[in-house]
Amino acid sequence: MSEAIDLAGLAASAGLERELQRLTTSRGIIRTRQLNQQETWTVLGAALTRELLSDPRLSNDVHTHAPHGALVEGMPVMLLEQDDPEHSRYRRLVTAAFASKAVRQLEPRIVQITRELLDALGDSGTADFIEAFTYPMPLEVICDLLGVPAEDRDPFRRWAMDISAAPSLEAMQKAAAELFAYCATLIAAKREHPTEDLLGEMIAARFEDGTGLSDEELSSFTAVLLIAGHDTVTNLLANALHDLLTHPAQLAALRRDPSLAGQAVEEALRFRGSAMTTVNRVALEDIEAGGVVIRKGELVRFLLNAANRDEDVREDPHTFDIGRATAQHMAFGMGPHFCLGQRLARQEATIALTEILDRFPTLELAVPPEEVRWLASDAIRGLEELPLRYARGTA
Amino acid sequence: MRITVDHDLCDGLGQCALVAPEVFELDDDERLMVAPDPAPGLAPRVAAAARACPVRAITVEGA
Repeated sequence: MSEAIDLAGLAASAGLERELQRLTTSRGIIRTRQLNQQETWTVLGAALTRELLSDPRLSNDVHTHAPHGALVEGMPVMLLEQDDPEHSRYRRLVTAAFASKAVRQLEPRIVQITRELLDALGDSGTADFIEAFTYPMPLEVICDLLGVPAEDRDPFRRWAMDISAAPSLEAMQKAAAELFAYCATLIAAKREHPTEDLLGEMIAARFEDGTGLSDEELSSFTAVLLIAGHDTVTNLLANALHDLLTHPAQLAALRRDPSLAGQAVEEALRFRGSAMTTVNRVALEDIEAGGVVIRKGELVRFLLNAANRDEDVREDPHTFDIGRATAQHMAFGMGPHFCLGQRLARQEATIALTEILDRFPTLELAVPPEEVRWLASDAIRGLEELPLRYARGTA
Repeated sequence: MRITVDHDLCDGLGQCALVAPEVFELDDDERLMVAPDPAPGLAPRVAAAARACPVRAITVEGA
């Protein structure tokens, strides 16, 4: 067996995508080493991804079957680290909040938040668009939806970064513990003084047998919705802006026809989605797949960005082309764990791209393209920062 | 085989249609359409499609 690959190390370079494709072509499934030094199988090929993401022999319940594969040991994450029937039982509690009707109703609020943040940038200047826009926009939306007070939000970015783009195992565990403790405090306050928001609804929700969610379940639910609900969009939007600005013909096409924004978002998701790697699964029995045997008890995760650039299913996978007009990528996963918030993410990204390009006819990278720095993360594909020069008039 | 869809639960995510497109299809309003009387040979894929549903809105009997 070949040596385990350090994905986070590879991710620090802009060459990650091409290297992944080379690995996909030669193998389809590889051994990788995680932050906690655990080795996992990582699925790269599109066909294998489709097959195994719906395979009931792979369990998301790592806390029961392989605790060393958990995101944070001893802290089961709702939905992500659950199997059906529990997973769907809990997911149903929040489905309506992320369904198409509810997400459509959020549109005016998303537009308002977007415009306020763009107003704050003034008529022209240079700014890190992650700090100034792609981080605060989705965070405000999800906090509004959940009912998280504005004055509490300061530590969220560091928690999200330390958890998703974890610089070290210690930093990750510390951030997760702080986040869970915060969520527990928030839930206790909302139990005391009920509020009309999604967390209020979740506290009041009852299953068919009359029972509700425990404090621990509510805290975990809050944590996952809060982090997955903004951090993914923050990085997706920054990646989308980066990829448009480094492909001027595509940017020009979008500026000529702003109705292509939705398609541009789909191509951005395919080309460089932010939720690069799924959480671990554990094999409940030996599984033969992609020419290897995954032994019972071994960990498996899916590198969706590799599947989305698999030459077997995609022509010219490294060409960024908003004319592809296909939502048939796997950036939101597939099967029972298909992203809960995909409609919200798509809507936020589409509104943001439309408004940003409309506001700033001049928009360009403020550093040479080769100087942008990529997060050294095996979980999230994203940029350290996105310095852009912008102006309301054309240059 | 008898396929039942709970339309109150179904969120139009289309995961079933990815697994068994001959049987499941979303219309333009993201409402799930089920083909009547699917061939018995499709039973394993229909079962897999039901498993792929994130909210378990699909029930299959006699597969």
